[in-house]
Amino acid sequence: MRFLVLLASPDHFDRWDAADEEEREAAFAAYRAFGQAVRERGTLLLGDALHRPDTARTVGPGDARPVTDGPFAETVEQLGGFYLVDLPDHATAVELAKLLPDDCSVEVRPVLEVDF
Amino acid sequence: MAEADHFNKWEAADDAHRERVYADFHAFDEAVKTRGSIVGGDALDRPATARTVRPGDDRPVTDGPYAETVEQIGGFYLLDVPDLEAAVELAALLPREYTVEVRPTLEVAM
Repeated sequence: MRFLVLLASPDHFDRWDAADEEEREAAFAAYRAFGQAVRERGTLLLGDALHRPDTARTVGPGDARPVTDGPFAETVEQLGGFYLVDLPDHATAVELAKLLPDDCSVEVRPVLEVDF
Repeated sequence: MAEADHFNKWEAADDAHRERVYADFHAFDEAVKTRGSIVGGDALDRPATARTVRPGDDRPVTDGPYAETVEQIGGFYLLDVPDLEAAVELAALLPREYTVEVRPTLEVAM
């Protein structure tokens, strides 16, 4: 089964910029542990870190498709990155998500496995 | 891609509506391929199927997405195209009822 894993935390980008070497190393170690654990149990299909929300452009609905600056929704927790993983089941995906940095909320959601 | 009441609307959609949405996705895919590539993408299951691992030492797990928003995320793509302007222009080809956020990534090696 495939799952989208979303990482979000309050003040995500400012906190990263302010983080010292040790804090960054701890985060990198958590990402590595997650990546390794996923590869042991399944496949890491995709993933990346996002730029700040203010770099986003949002194409609105409607025939005119108006473009605005910023994300589609302002949320307290800023989306900072994502993975697409293939693992045996949802419980495994949730278990492995706990390896990611513990200051993040990590959403784990099944995808429909659409071919395109 | 996000839309208010996305999943209920899709389930209530008739064949003609679905065909038009599929055609929009197809046009988007074809246009991206002429400017770059689709690295990945998929459609999501309903927000209620999500589990969220919360911060803290004991990592409590809650049902649902990390944030409740009016517009529900229904799917995503990861694109490789020349610049943000091209990505925004291509995003306008996606079904017109969707709000489409386009954001650069850091291109982190996995």
